[in-house]
Amino acid sequence: MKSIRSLICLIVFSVLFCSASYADLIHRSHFYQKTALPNQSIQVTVRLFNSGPANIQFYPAITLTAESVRSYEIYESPVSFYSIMNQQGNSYTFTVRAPADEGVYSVSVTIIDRFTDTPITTCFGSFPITIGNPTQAISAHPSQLNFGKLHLGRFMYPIPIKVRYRIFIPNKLGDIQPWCLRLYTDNANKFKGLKGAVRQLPAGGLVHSSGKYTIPLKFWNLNWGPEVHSSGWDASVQGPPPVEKDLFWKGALLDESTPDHPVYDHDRKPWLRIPDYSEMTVDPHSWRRAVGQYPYDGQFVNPTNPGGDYQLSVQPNPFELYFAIEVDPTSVRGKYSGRVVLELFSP
Amino acid sequence: MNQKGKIFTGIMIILAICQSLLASTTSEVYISCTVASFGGYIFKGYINAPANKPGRNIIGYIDVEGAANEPYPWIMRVYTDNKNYQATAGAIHQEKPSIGLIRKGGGHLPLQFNTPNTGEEWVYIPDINNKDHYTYFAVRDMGPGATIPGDSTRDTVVMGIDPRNAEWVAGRDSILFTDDDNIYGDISIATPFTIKLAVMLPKDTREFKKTPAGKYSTKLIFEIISEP
Amino acid sequence: MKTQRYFSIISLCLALMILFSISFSAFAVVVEPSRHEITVSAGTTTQVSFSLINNTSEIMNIASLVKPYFPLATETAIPPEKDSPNAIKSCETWITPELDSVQVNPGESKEFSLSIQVPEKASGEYAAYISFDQSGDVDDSQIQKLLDNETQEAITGMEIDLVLRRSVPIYLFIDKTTEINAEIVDATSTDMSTEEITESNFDYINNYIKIAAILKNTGSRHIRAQGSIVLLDETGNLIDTLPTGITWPILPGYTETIPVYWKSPKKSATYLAIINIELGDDIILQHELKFSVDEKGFLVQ
Repeated sequence: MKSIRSLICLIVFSVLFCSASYADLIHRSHFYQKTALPNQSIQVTVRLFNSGPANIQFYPAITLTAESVRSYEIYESPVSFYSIMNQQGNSYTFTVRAPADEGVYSVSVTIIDRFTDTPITTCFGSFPITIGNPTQAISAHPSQLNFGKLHLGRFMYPIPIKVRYRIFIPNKLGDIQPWCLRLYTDNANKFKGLKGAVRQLPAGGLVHSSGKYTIPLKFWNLNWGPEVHSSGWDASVQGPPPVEKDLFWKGALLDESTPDHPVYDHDRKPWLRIPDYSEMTVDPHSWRRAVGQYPYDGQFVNPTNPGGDYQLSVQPNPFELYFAIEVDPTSVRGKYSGRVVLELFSP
Repeated sequence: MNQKGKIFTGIMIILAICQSLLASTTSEVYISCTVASFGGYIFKGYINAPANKPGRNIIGYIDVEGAANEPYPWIMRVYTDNKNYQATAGAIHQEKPSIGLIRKGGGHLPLQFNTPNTGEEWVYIPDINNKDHYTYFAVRDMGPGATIPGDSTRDTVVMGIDPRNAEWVAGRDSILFTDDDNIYGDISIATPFTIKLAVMLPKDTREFKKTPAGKYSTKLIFEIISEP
Repeated sequence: MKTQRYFSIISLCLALMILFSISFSAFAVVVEPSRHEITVSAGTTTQVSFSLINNTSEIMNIASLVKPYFPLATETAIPPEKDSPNAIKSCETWITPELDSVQVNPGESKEFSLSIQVPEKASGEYAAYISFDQSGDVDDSQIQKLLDNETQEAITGMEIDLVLRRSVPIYLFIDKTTEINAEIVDATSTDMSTEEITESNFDYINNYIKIAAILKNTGSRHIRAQGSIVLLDETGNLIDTLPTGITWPILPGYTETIPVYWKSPKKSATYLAIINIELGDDIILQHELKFSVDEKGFLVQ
């Protein structure tokens, strides 16, 4: 009977011991910078709370894991020991040296028991850290395309333009400076317009050899939809939405439309007009953006994407861009040309 | 290398560095195309209705197909040219000369047309030789308010594109600089469409003498004039 | 082929109408180039040609016609006083088409030549219009029926000869007798809206200001001016660059208003508009205009 009682006591104490050393350490919050230069010191602050009955003595292990193959486990050296007081929260700042290889790393901090060398808990960072040297580069291929001889209608250039870019601009806040890839034409020298036109004719697009007329130029990439449930077109599987359909070219019809006077929802359409440089203002809504990372705009920000990241590929892999034009009765016969500028822009 | 040469080389090197820095953040795609001539409009006329009652008699219609992409501003205007008929007409009663169909020896039947652009309205077709006929005027001088009175062009224009024509640019509400503006001033009509033709017969049948029997003729001209 | 032109003939009696159902078709010819501007020497003969292009599936019979020049102007063009020595003269009597009419097969283009005989005394600029007419084709047998019936006096026939016409101008500059010259006579600014309209109309966001340059052609040939209006604020900062576009021909002696419409921001400021107009031959005209707007974007008078 006594032996049974002592066995029960042993079980209860061992459970208590286990809960005190493992389960009672709560990770309250953490902070670290989002960007770093290669080999730069990174400071990771973790706020821990011990709800158990005993003090815990521990040392940290910070793991920076790159996606796919590469993995770095970096232990701070020499290891300094820390202890957490019973029933008390505390902030701990650990320093780690960033890897020499550029890339995007996930961050985790493992708390290891000083005496048993066993992990107590692991704090997973909620955002990645980007390590690299400040860089901006872009190239597009093919860089020349000719739509050929066109009659009335809408035409998409069937071959996508592959855009390859690298951009990394850390700012003083340890964050990634918001950036986007803007598309525009720069027709200021070419486009002259018509005298006395009551409304200024749009300068964006391809310009006639006389300098008087333009054909609007549109672009599409996967960021711009269409929304698959309302349109029935799954662009990620089926590719660019067909330009012939007004739904994709002009936008959905609004309720106030009449058969004689259709009104389109211009805000929600996958094919977007490329403006001219002269039409753009400081307001980001006057820009056309292909890809980017822009948390302040809110357009692509959602609970799973707090950084507003709408890149379609991992740098420096290319993403695809399609161009299309519409030839209508206002398209005067003749030769048209234009240069579309793809600009990595960080305001 | 002298001092000036050194400065010049230095500037060139700095420029070259700046150039490479700038070039790295933008890339350009050169896009070109040629817009073919749309071939112009094709008119197919059918005259198959009788003119037998006083008032407006629709005598037939013209189906228009095709498209034109002339340099704009361009207009397609309609008029008759009765000079040749007039010469043999004898000129007995010439108070309103040469409108519509002309009869040798006097008499005329006014001719009207209707298109999707005119709506329910029927427009008289003028004669080019008439003194009251004016060629096309693009812009009516717009005072404060920029509300465009209707019918500001003084030529019978079937369709056209003119970004300088305030009336055409103003759009449905006839007010300039509002959201519904037609920036190109494009009043070309999507084909196929129909031009209806009608003649006016005098209202009182007992006074039918005003429309004496005989052969009525005219030369009806649809003319495209583009940027001169 | 005069009968071919009768695209429709309707017979009607005083009481009873007899009619024929006749169909007809006509095609608009494509003419390239859309104008000629050539320099010629007095006392010489020059050839010019247009390409007539038939993009349809039917044969086209095209007749040509030389007409006097008429300015297809805007309302803002003020013609010169009568008997101005510089005014543009019509030269339709000098131009002789090589052929009266030409047949163009489907899908083909044909060169159409005109010879221009310039008299010895000519000087300055001359112009004319060439019209290319495509008349309709009708079924001949239907016409015949009507002609048989024409013996009856009571029948009234209607005959409409339908023509599709394309008119293109030719400008002639007599060598060494023309010069390009013009002056900006004045520049004006006008409100395009009123406060009542901007307040009552939801669509009206801003007032627009018309900045107009009044250009007089003082030379002896027409000009096609182009340029821009540069807007500066009081401290000389660039606010906007507004292209004026390329004008239609401004004929010698004519005064033309070149308007540009500018969306005026809702803030009180004074602006300086610098008007630059390029005439060609490296002649550039400049003019300045100062104006102030109030906080609602309207001109301060």
